[in-house]
Amino acid sequence: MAWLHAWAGWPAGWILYAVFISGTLSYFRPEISHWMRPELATAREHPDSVAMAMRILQERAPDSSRWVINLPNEREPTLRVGWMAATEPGKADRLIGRFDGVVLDPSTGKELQPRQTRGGDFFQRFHYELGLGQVWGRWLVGVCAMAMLIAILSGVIAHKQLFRNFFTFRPGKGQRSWLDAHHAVGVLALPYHLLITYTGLITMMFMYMPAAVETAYRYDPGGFLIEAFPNPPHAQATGRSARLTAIEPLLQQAERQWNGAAPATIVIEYPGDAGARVQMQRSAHGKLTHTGQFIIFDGVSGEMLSIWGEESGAMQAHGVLYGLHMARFSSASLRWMFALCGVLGTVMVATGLVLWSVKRMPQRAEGERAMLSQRVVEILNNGTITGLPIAVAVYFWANRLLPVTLAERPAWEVRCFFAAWALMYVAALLQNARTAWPRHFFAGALLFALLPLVNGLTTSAHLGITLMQGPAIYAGFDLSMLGIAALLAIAAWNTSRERPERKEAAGDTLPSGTPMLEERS
Amino acid sequence: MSFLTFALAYAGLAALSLAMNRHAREVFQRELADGPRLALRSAGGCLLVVSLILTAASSGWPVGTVEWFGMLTASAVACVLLLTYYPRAAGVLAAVLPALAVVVLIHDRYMAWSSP
Repeated sequence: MAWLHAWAGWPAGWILYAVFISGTLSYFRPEISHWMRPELATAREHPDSVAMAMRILQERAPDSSRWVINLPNEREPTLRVGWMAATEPGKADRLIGRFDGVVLDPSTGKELQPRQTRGGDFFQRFHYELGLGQVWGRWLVGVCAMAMLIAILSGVIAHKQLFRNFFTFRPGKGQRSWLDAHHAVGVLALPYHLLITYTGLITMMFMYMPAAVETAYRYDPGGFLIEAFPNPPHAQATGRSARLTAIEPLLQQAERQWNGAAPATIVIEYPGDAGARVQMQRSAHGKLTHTGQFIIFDGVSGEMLSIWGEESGAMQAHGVLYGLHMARFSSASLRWMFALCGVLGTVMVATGLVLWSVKRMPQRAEGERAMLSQRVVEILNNGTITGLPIAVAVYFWANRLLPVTLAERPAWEVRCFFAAWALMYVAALLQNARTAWPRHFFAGALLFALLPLVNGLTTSAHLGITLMQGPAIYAGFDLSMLGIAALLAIAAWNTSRERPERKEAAGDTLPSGTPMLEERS
Repeated sequence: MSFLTFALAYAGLAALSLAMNRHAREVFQRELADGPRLALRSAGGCLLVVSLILTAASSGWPVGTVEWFGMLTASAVACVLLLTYYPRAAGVLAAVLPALAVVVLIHDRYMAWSSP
């Protein structure tokens, strides 16, 4: 079983490390997106958001066939209002057309002009596609996730002493400590590792296991998704005009229906027409299942017409597994626990990768040249494990330092991410592996530690202000960056300490590669 | 999710760890007899069950179970780090944290009861 654990984890670990880091960041997708648009920093929640949105829509798009209101919440304190623009009456198909919108500060009603960036969405997409596109990226991540599941299960079975050593961590003992760390982060967050790997595969199950669906829906491609995940029906315009009902009472009615959970999105179809419909979507907070829940109201009388999202057992099971992976239901404290587990998973993969190579590669004496394969593995390990955090930091730096008016700005931020990552492989190539580890970790720590400073210099929301007056998202982001810097600094310190101890250990044996040592081992 | 349930989960895990000889040596400087070991082990198990029930009571079983697993991991991390670097503090906190949590709970209840 130990061999299965080792070969399931390698080489998938290089991909899984990237998946774990981007996935952990994705728990904070709205917060990252908000921080990366500092023009929105002043936005505050306000109870009259709906009235404000309706006023704007009446003013700017009275003839639109579709209004969309995304209400502010504590994670995204802006009010986003959108409408279908440029559809001609008569031949208007609501799903085809130009969509316009504005972002508002709910407390002042001022229109905000955020900079162009992909924000936290980049990490979420990268998490399951790695920038390789819908087919290759998703399949590669899927294969690696399957390898991960095998590695976790075989790891638990192969290493039964795991539970005897449940609370054990012995620092300062070289390879023994790294092994302890690998076991500890693996076992302590074992429920999470199993859950997140399994549910991750579930999110793409129709792509990975298409046989059943393709057999049943052979003559109707696409029919399955329409039947399995039905959307509320679209309204029909009548051409007769009628006054739109007040929205606030509908909000309260929806909240009662959902046991106090607030609507997150309001869609109004054909406002001002007798056939108008108001559709409310429940916020994801507090319910495990990921499937959307909707209530449809008559847009003129305000009558509740239908409720969507009460589903069959099988669909609920799918929705819950999907929802557990996304963790959008969780409170702030639970989200931090998910993030902690994500960090533990990242450390587990990283230590696993290093242990794999250390165990299989012959120890070499001081000054001895490494074998080519050993060197390649070292460079890939170093460039991946230290390069990705650095790339993340560089992505945030680029967001603050690239000119706001730069053409294709979002693409340039992403280019900076990949360029930094690629450069770290080159940097690993040019250095001795033992010195590269602490140096790169230290560089990463420095880049993260300086981010609050860069933010303070480029925006007016520096830690001195945000800690006292908010916005809390900024304070939280900056403190998290300092936290990541501390983690990388610990890694730098531990990898720099490695060397003297190993020398010491080698002192009481013989230089590696001698016949004597081979006999003894 | 509350301080109380975290404290109970931590105390439970700490009790389970102290029932193991290696950690008993670190914290008490000696191994425990079979009696106290068994007592610690069952107390640890009970504390974990109580923390699960309390979490479920406050957040409902679906979300509560998820929260409990998260808390279990978080408190286990705390437990391992303390046992490694401050073994005596790990033992002391196992007793102090739940007591502190109960005081916080009583305070909250009192405030809820005394304010309209």
